[in-house]
Amino acid sequence: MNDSNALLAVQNVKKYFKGTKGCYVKAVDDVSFSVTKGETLGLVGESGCGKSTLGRTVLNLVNATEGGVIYEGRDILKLPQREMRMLRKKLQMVFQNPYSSLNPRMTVLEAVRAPLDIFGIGTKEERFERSRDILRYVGLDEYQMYRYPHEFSGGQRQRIVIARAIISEPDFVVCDEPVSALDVSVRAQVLNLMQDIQKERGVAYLFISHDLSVVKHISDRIAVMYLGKIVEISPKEALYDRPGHPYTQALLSAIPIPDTDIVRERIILKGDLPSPMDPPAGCRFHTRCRFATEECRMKEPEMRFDESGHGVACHRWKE
Amino acid sequence: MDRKRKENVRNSFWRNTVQKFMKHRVAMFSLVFLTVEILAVVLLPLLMDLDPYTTNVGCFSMAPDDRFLLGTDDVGRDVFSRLVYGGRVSILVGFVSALLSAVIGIPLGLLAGYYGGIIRMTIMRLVDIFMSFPAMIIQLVLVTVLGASATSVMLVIGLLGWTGFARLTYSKVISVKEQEYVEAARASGATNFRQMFQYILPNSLAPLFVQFSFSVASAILQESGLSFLGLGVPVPTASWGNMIYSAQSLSTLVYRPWMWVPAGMILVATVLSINFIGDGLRDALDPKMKI
Ligand SMILES: Nc1ncnc2c1ncn2[C@@H]1O[C@H](COP(=O)(O)OP(=O)(O)OP(=O)(O)O)[C@@H](O)[C@H]1O
Ligand code: SF4
Ligand SMILES: [Mg+2]
Repeated sequence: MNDSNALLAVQNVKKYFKGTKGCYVKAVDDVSFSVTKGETLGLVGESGCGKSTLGRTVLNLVNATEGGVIYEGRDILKLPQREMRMLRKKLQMVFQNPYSSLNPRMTVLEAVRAPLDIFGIGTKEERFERSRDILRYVGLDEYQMYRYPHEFSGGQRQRIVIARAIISEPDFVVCDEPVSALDVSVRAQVLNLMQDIQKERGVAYLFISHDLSVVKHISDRIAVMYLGKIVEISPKEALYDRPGHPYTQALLSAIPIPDTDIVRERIILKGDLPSPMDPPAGCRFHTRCRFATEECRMKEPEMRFDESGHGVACHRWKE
Repeated sequence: MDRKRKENVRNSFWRNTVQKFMKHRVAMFSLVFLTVEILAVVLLPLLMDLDPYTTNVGCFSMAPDDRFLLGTDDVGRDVFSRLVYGGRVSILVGFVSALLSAVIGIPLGLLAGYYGGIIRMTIMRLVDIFMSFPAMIIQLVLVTVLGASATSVMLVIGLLGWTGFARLTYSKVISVKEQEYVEAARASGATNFRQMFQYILPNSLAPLFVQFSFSVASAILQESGLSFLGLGVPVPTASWGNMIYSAQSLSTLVYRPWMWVPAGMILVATVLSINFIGDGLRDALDPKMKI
């Protein structure tokens, strides 16, 4: 991987939560990746594998246990609070649940204008006009600006949240399952809106989802996470055509392929997801992997990349 | 243009709240009652010839008649006049004390809940210490030191009443600060101060209104308690408290009810209606409560 044109480089980030009896929940364990300007990196994995924690850690919303995130030549995880705060103009977030991520006591206008108010961008009139324009852009009418969030549907609220995230013209937005709380009927609309925004403004997304089909729709590259680690990262086509990691293969085999006669072999994962308190030694996936060998039980696989930038953390990749 | 719009926003919020409050019959009735009462104690002395201080020689302990609407007390003062003037004092003591408690307690609770750690430890320990004091005894000592007057009664009740506000604010804040919209505010770059006062506090206010009303009512009662011990608002100034407790003797209690029954009834009615208003406000301020 070439980090020189990266917008944001995540390096060996770990986040351990203190669990019961001195145990640690290794929610994110030594994760590295980078995001280039204007791209969408999809992040998939089962519930509880650490996707949200990774997103939060990257934005320094929780303190990382270890590691760094390089943005504009600086490690933002080590910045003093004040400087980090100023950077948030450029690094924003869209949360999963639009019902809980808007302050119930603020009107839509106030909510969307908040980043401008916070950073003192523009005059009062300019802030108002910018908020109104961006709300119009995401599909809300002017008369709706003075209403409170509870008067809106989930889809509308998520549009408001998106408007709030992009009003300060960020370079990078972490989108934590932005559509999974929405009705299926409005998902596509919100996804299209996000794509349009990206095309027009060149913002990069870290797009988190547990749903491979959603990620496929929107991403340029995809990272697959299992028990706190990224096990495969690759441009979208390569990942869908030639999944390298047995876990990715299993995930892909579970989604039906439309409009083809290809019948993919359905790989059923055996066993349960191990606890992140006590992940298996060696390769974390070995308890459920059909290719596991003795080496897998002993030694943790390193992420290896091929020429196309397709990276897999598996001892038996390309065998 | 923008300003005008802003006013619209505020109007719609308050209109909404007011509409919901008005649906709350008991609270609405209480509000009307309290408003009438406050208007009465403020305006009656200007409209009528009321004299709460003159001791009418030869008219001690007179039952109500057409000269003294509610009779006279044991030194011959007009009970009705004292009831009106006493209302001014009691209601003022109630509101000022409660306001003082809120102004001290709410920011402390907010800081403790938001920052946690050593700040929380210090503030909550202070709350514990204050709460473990026998409040009445401290109040007695303080009033004695400061000298009995309406001002010192307000100060003393207010200064000792902040713990309730601090605790309630604290417990509300620790749940509100975990809400996603607070993290969203932080992700947007909001300062700690902004998170506390624009996101957390407004969402913690509803129970504090109830606490405030309870606090007003309780301050009115505490003043009457202090009066009972001769350390409330001192006579000849009238307060409902000292009216009730100046009629301590058994014979007054049994044979001269006009001296204390009106003050007692109005005190209870006031305390109750303030509490009902608090209830109504709590419901009206909850944005999820539909009309
Ligand atoms: N604040 C916390 N304290 C302790 N443990 C936590 C905390 N937040 C998350 N965890 C644990 O870290 C692990 C990863 O959680 P995370 O929310 O990042 O998963 P996720 O991949 O986003 O899951 P989901 O798809 O359900 O959102 C889980 O085991 C979770 O229990
Ligand atoms: S390293 Fe071994 S256990 Fe892990 S995924 Fe590859 S083959 Fe399976
Ligand atoms: Mg999550």
